[in-house]
Amino acid sequence: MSDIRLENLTKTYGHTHAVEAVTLKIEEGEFYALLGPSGCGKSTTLRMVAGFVMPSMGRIWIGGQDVTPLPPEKRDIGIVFQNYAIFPHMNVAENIAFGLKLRKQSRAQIETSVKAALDQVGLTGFGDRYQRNLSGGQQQRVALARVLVTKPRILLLDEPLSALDKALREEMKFWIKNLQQELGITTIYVTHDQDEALTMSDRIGVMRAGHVEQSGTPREIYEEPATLFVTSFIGQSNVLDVTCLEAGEGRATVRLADTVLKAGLRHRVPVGAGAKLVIRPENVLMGAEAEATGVPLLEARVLGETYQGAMLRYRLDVAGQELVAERQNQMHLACWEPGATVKIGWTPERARLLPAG
Amino acid sequence: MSDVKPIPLTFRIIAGIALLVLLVPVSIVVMAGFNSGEFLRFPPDGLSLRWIKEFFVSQTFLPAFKMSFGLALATTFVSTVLGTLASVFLTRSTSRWREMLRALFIMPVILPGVVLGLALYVFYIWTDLGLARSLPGLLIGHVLVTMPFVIATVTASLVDFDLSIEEAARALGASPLQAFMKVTLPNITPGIMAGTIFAFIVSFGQFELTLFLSTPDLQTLPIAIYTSLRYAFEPTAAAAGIFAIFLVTVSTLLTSRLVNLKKLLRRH
Amino acid sequence: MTELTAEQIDTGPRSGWQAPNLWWLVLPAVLFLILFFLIPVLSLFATSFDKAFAGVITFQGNLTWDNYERIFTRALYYKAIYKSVFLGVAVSLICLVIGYPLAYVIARTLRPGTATLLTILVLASMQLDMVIRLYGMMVLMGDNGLINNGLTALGIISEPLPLMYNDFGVVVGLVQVTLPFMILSLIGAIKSINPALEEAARSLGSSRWHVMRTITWPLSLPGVYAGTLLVFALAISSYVVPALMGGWKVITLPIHIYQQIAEVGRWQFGAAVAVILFLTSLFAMTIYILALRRNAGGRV
Repeated sequence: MSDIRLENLTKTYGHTHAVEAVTLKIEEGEFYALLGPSGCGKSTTLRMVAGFVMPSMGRIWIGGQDVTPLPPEKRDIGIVFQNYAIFPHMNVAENIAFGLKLRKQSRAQIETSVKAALDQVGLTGFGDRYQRNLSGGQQQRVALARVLVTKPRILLLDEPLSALDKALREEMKFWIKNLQQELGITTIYVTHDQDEALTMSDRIGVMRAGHVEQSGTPREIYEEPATLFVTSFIGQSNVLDVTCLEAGEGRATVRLADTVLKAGLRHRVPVGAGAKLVIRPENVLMGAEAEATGVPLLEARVLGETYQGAMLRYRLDVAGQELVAERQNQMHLACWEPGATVKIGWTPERARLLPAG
Repeated sequence: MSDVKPIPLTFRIIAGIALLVLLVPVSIVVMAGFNSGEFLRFPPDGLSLRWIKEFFVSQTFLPAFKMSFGLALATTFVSTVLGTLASVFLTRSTSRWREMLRALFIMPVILPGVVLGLALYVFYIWTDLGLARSLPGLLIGHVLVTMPFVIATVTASLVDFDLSIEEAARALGASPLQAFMKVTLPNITPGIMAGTIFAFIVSFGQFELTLFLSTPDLQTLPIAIYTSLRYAFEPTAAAAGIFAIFLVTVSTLLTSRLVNLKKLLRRH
Repeated sequence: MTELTAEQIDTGPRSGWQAPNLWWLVLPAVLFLILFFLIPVLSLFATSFDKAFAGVITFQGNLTWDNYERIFTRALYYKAIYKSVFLGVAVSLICLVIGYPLAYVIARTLRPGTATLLTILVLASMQLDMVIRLYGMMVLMGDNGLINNGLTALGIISEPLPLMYNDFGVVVGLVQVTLPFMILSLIGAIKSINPALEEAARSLGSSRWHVMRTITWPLSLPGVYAGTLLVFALAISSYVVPALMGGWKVITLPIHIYQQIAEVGRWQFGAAVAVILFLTSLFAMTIYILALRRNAGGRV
């Protein structure tokens, strides 16, 4: 078990920066997700940690050891690929034994370890099956067993769930997380699925165009997005144009339409200039609920309503800007028809002010 | 993605040797054709167009080149027509004879050229239809060995063709023939053209079959060069070779434009 | 044949241009093949069982095993079989050893431009007229050829090395001619191996060579078999290479066939040698096609 440190990690192909000056520290035993759209450099970062891609600049430490110049086989890491990469010409047991044979273990030792590994991933008795006779989920488990049996210092997972169907994905999500916690192994998990990142990780690094936009716990990422990109990539957000009137310690005063509101602030926003106010649909309160909070209210016109079972979604217009509000579909709460006018508001802690652009 | 050199140095070196094996003989022909001396020696004498000029007045190589070219054109025409029609049948028919026919169509290239040449020669003399040592007889032989290449290429592009496009044309009111001619055919044209070029090249370079079917007055370029090689290394032959090399290089480049090389390799 | 059973309609290809009867499309090609391929080849086989008369091409109907008996009892002839097979095996193995790395480079290079260029070079050298390539080989390897000429000029040798008109020359010539076929068979097989398999092995602790031995090579075996058999079949069938590079001193089956006919005029006996040659290469080709089908997962 080891921590991972990336320092100023950079990879350029010709004139394009695939990864630009990424500096990260991943603690021992931590489950760290690299989240981002395709082409953001998350896979390249992972492949640099694994040793398949040579960094153009920067260093990689695993457990205090500088592994930057080492080839993949000398790094003592475990990696699971998107398509699992089960060797098709070896059966499951031979696949799992592959790394052990290289570590010069005795035959008896290997046999015991393979059996234990199969039990661990719930594939007891699958030893003589071949890849073509395994389902996606089973291949996934074999890939994990093959890696874990070599007791790697760190575990790297490259979109391991993307090839599975939805139901299986849910199941494997929790299974992988439990296994990781049980073993306490430092893990980097690359994904483009915010849902996986939010539910599984201890911390998330949101990547965009080669650099890490924000690194933090799922709660921080979701509730306190640092940039507009993170805001739009994680969950859904309303982004409203406002004017910043006053910026203080963690608090800002802004004007939206003719109403003066307060909002949380983590960044430098120039006073008197335009800024963006970010608020999630579920935090937009409507009607009596809004009035009960005692915050300044805004006048909104209902543009449309979408029925989503447990939730109701309203498209609203506030002084020419469109925003979305979501609320529980409960009997005792009021409903609004399109065209109706409604008072809306939100508690200042739920709103966030970000610099424009 | 990965840029940790995945190819070991030893492999690169042997790959270089393999490339040399493939390319050195060709380069020597080019050098011999442009050489100024009677023989190519080490170090070479110098450059000249002497042998190229010689080729254009040669009594053996120029007629042989023309002969090969004309024969290849005629061969290509016949085998493209026959082969394309047969390919449509092979990909569209549900007949249980289909697999057997498919095997029959590759047979002529599986059979060693010497065996096929001998068989045709004996057959021509037996039947006494005037095919022995005649241009039509030679043409028949060339069609036999080029048609498999046309069928392979055209079949591949027909298999890759998305049938639902043709079905869409049918749904819009086209007759089966109209749908095929107006929708399918234009889409598989690159495949047919690639097959045509293949056929041309195979016919142009065909030797062993021709050996049994040609006569001194029906000499193709390979036979003329072969005869020359048995007795003397005439540089004029190398000059003729340069034109053939040019022809083949251009057509390979053309083929690679027409059909996806990768696809061809996966399937071949 | 023209009527489809219910099952065929259910399982057959989807409707397209497939009127119930498409036979007229294939008929010209089939008639052509029956007339100018099946009949001549089968007659040749029949001839091989006829009694041999020098210079006569007629079918006498005296069925006999004489021709075949002669092949297998006279050292001159069965040694030719042995020679052909020996050369075929040597050529396939050499092609495999020098072809595999180039195929690997083409399949695995990271620069797509390099891969395309190399593929075009291999294809072009495969398609180029054999006789022209042999011209280059002979200028290179003859007693007065470039190699001997150069080595003598440099004072390394005083007598020319015997590079041609022997087994060595024939093998080199056959390797030159058949190498592209080996490379093309291998590229497909190596390309179809998912690079993640090799990376997975690396991450589990394999060195580059160990990955090559335990992952890449075994997974490329279908291509190896296909390439080797194809090259074998081509090598034993070649007439022009042993004729030129062996200078009629290396007697293989195709050389025999031509000699029997052109020099002795014993057609029936030549036909028997042809049958033996055909059966040997058919055997290799059949295995080749089977290997290819397995390789392509039944897509061929």
